[in-house]
Amino acid sequence: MCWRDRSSTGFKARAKGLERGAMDQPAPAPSPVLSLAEIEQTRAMIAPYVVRTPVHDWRGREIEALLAPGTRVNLKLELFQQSGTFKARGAISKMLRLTPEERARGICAVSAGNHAIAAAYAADALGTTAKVVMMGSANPARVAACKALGAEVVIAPDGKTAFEMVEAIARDEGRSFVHPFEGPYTALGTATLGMEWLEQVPDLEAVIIAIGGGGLCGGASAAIKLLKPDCQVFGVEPTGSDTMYRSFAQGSPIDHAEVLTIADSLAPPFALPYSFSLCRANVDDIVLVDDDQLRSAMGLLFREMKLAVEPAAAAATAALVGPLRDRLAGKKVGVLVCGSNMDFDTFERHIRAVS
Amino acid sequence: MIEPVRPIALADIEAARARIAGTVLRTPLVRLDLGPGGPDIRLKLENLQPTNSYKIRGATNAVARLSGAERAQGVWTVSAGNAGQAIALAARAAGIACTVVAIDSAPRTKLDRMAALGARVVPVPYDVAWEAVTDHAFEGMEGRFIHPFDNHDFISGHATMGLEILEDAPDTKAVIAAIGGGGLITGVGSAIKALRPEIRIFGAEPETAAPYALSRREGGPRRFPDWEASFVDGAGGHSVIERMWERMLPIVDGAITVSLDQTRQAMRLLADKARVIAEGAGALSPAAALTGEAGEGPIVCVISGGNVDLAKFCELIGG
Repeated sequence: MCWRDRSSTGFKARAKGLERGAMDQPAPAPSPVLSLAEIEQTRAMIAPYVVRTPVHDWRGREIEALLAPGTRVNLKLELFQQSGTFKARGAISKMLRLTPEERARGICAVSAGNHAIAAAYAADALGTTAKVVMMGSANPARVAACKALGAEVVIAPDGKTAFEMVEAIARDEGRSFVHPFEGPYTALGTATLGMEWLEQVPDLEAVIIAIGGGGLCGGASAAIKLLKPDCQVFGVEPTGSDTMYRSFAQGSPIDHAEVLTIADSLAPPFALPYSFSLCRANVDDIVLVDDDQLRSAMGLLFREMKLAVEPAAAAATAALVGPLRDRLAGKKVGVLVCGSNMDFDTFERHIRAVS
Repeated sequence: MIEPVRPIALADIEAARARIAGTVLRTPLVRLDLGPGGPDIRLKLENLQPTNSYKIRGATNAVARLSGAERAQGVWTVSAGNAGQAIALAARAAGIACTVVAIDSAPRTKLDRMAALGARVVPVPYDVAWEAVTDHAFEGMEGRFIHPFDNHDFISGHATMGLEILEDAPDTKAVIAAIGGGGLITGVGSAIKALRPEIRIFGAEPETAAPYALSRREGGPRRFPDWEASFVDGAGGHSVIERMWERMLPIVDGAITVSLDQTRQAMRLLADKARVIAEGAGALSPAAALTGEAGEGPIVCVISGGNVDLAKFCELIGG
């Protein structure tokens, strides 16, 4: 998701209201602490609709020169997930919990990017319809991807209006709102990623996961700590969107953030309580990377891993060779390439802008 | 002495797999998502290997098979770029001296990387290099020659990729791999045909260097008369070498020729849709899949390499 526009408290209240509405479903909500049984159940439920994404050890001259001696890196290539992003896991998980009547009425979502595509994919995969509100600033390739998946796309002039529009759609059309990051079913979806990764690479000693709203990091870190409590979990945020970092410092989710980063997928205008509490309980530390570090990591992934990813997908790599380099010395480190929906021309513009 | 051609047996492939595990990576197989109704194309991402091409498979296996006496003498090879990097890396890891007779028109980055990996690089024109691979000889070279395609151990190493493909995609109907000398397709195809003979194997070549398609049409190994250099510098030979024709004969079901434009478009499509960067040779197989000549799929395309720098890549796919 991306909210380039500044949020207001009213904006936040509406978002919370929508999520509360979603949580008032008749089915009992899982407890705030995820259990392995719930994660495994979710994994079985979503398995027909998502991919077990590949992992790949990163060996190359350039990366080895950048790391402290003895550090080994394993990449979880979640960008090869259905819809190109981890968000398909949460969207499918959430939508499978809707009643048949709710599902038949369709879903709605608001996002400038990955979540919109994932919601469109999930609706198509589950045989229902999606109406997604996207900001006018959204990358045209992302809008086209949603339409190709059969979603109805409504363009909003700004983030605030977008939330008003999706709220109206939910109310007037009876569509269920699928939140971009907040809520237990979304977290159970992303938790399947953590479980899968530790099965694929049991000797991981630390992982690095990007934080936007914290839905990915909260769910994945919860699973990792359940399965392997001594595996360190590091969150990474852009300096221009350090919402969770400041929420940690404050001890509660901050309700208003000025965001300014090239990583538009990691730029929510506020933190929300469920994702905050999952991250707080399971993340050892959060580090920050700036736009130039993101661009450098994109270049590194291009040269050595032959991937042309959006800035958010390079955040964990930027932390690996930047602020976490020395702390991870000698460890086996998992780096999550969380997803990427960006055309090559945009990639090129980003990478040529290294200042 | 050049050893006679013999089939790449499943036992050779399995032995190679055990030998190279630890150095060579098991690469991911991912879907190229072209949206609802698109063909079912999967990408075998050999561009993620160390040195960013599949050649490390064969190089590691061939170096591991050397005797102690051979190691002491060092190795040499002939390369357009990717084989040289892979053999240089495998030789360095084994503590063996390495010389690469390299095509002087190869991209600077490929030549520099061979040197950075400790190889002595001897640049020669394309014609001279092609003569060396045909003759298995080059004046002044010492030590064991590791042929960049016509070598049983080298091909057996590449064949390990075929085992991985079948494990990851048992529903595969066709596999497409680029043809330069023919080592890659012989390797992958040998593994696949040994286990699943009904799966069809196609070779892909650029229209500017398509001796294999010509040879198939005419029923024997031929020289391509109008050969032109292009950005597809990692595939497309001057001719099909007799011994490689013999190796490919029982393995390959068809040849697909693609234009340079189709290849560029495939490079762009991979970058836009899968965020994957392929060099020219690496994009031949998806370009071939998109012609429809290999059927509806599932088609596995071997993305053989990704050694292209950002400026060159942008120039190729731009506009």
